[in-house]
Amino acid sequence: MNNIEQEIRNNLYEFYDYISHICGIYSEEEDHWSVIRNVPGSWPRIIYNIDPEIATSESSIIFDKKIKSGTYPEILIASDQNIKVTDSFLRSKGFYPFSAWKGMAAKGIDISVPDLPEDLELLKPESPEDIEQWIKIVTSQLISPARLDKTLVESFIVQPGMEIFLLKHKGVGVSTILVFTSETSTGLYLLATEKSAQRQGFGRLLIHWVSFLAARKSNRPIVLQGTSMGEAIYSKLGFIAYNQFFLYRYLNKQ
Amino acid sequence: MNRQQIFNKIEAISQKIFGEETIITEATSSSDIEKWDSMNHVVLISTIEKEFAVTFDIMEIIGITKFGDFIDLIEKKQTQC
Repeated sequence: MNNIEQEIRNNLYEFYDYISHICGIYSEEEDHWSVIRNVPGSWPRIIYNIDPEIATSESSIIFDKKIKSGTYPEILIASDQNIKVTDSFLRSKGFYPFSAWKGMAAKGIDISVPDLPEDLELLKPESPEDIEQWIKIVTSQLISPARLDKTLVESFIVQPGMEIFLLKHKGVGVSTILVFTSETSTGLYLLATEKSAQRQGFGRLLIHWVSFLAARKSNRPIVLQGTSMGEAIYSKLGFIAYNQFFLYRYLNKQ
Repeated sequence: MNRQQIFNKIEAISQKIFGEETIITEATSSSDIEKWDSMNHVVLISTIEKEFAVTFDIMEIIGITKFGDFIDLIEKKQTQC
């Protein structure tokens, strides 16, 4: 595994670690995976950072019970590291893959000062109105409205290492992004564009801007996770796919 | 089992999962069926695996976007048997 693959993986796991600690929903009960407790109505609810070598040991019985009792969440993210072992184990426990993300990192990305046409405004939302707009876009595209707590989003503003941005077009929010800076990399998350504003280059401009700002601060690699649809867009911006993450959902057969 | 027979069986499965009124073609994808969410996606995969006595590997599952993909995979697996 090369360094950049490790950076992509670490940033994703540290991002979830960080958020779950802010929310107080991190579970440290197990040492072979990380769990964000299954708190109804909360985002995120996932199991991640699996060590397949240990996960296949006898403790998987406990894990299985916790899933069936609802203590653990039903969504799980597995990296492509030892995926055959992990996949076999997860399938035997009733998990099925349903989607995949490409772990991507910027290479040769254009970090020249981006243009910002007069009718566009890039800001870090702080007012209740701007935070509302940010949440509205994210919940219309990525996360169920019932699961994204407003106080969590407000806490992003004051957390070190966490920044949220809103791109406005003619005074109305059109695109969002969250930038998570770990000690060794910068991760881009929650990139969403309002449906009526898609295919107009807003998302592309927003990534260009936050990449530019991140590159000015440090030379940490810039990483993100893209769906197969997003991969083409990110590739045009200079991101290269290095690895893959698989999303599983628990299928309770009983 | 020929392609039409595979399709008919998959159509019956999809109607059980997504509702009897569901009409599909080989090109029908998750974006065409409102109830095709991540949960029903895994239900669909596991039911098809069981009904056709096949197992899809992870890369095959990730590549499935429409019903025609299921048929292609099942045909391929039948040929391999």
